[in-house]
Amino acid sequence: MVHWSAEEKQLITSVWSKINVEECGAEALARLLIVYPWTQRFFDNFGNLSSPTAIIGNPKVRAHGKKVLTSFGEAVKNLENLKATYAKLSELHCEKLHVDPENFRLLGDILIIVLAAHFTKDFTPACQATWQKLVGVVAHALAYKYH
Amino acid sequence: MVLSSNDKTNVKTIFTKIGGHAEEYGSETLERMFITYPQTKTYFPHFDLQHGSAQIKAHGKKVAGALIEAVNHIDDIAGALSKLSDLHAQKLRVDPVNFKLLGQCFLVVVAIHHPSVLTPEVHASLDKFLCAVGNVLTAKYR
Repeated sequence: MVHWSAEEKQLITSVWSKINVEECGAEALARLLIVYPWTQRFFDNFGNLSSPTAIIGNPKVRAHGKKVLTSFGEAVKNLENLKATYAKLSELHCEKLHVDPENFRLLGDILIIVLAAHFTKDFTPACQATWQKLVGVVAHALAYKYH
Repeated sequence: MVLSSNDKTNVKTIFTKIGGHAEEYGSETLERMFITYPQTKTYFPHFDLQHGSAQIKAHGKKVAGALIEAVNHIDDIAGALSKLSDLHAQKLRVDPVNFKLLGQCFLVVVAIHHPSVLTPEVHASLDKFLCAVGNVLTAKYR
């Protein structure tokens, strides 16, 4: 089980409370698809992903980005119990979606950059470290049921 | 992985914006890396790693200098960093995984100081460039 200090919990909830989940989620997913274009392989049915402009403006990307980051909110609410929180989603990503867990790590890294750009100087080293830890354990929990 | 001419333009643009702050960003990158990825400290047992340490400043300057050298010779990064590549292979032997961690922290620092310049396209180019630098530095490992 992952241990979270009081400071870490504070850094997580305080950042989360200031995020616009829809905007941030859309931005993170769009950047994932632009920076690591091979991740587009999971989104054949999303329509036009032919350029950064197309990706950023794509309504399916926005909607899916919002969905993904909303689900991240469950992690923030259940820091002591991430494996259980993500058990079903983990099975889904393995058995139905066939997503290599490396992609969760890539998205996590992208989310950190999006947060850094959004919060600038307020994204202190302690904040970065805490959130990098959080995205890492979320990725781990999502990969946990893989077989 | 090849840097397109767009990538090269994007990287040069962002480093022009970074300008004289490169050394400062180098130090900030290292500090963030040591805090976010404590395992990276194992390569610096001889350093004072506290905030503001003279050694981190000096080393950040070196790292920034190498990145600038790579940008200035972006058509031949391997040539420009050949001696550094030898050093990493023969003496330093930093595990290749750590270059990604340094790269991530550098991107964070750029995002913090130049959020509007780090568009998704520039982000992609800079990430590719940092990967290319890491690849060059580990190319002679075996």
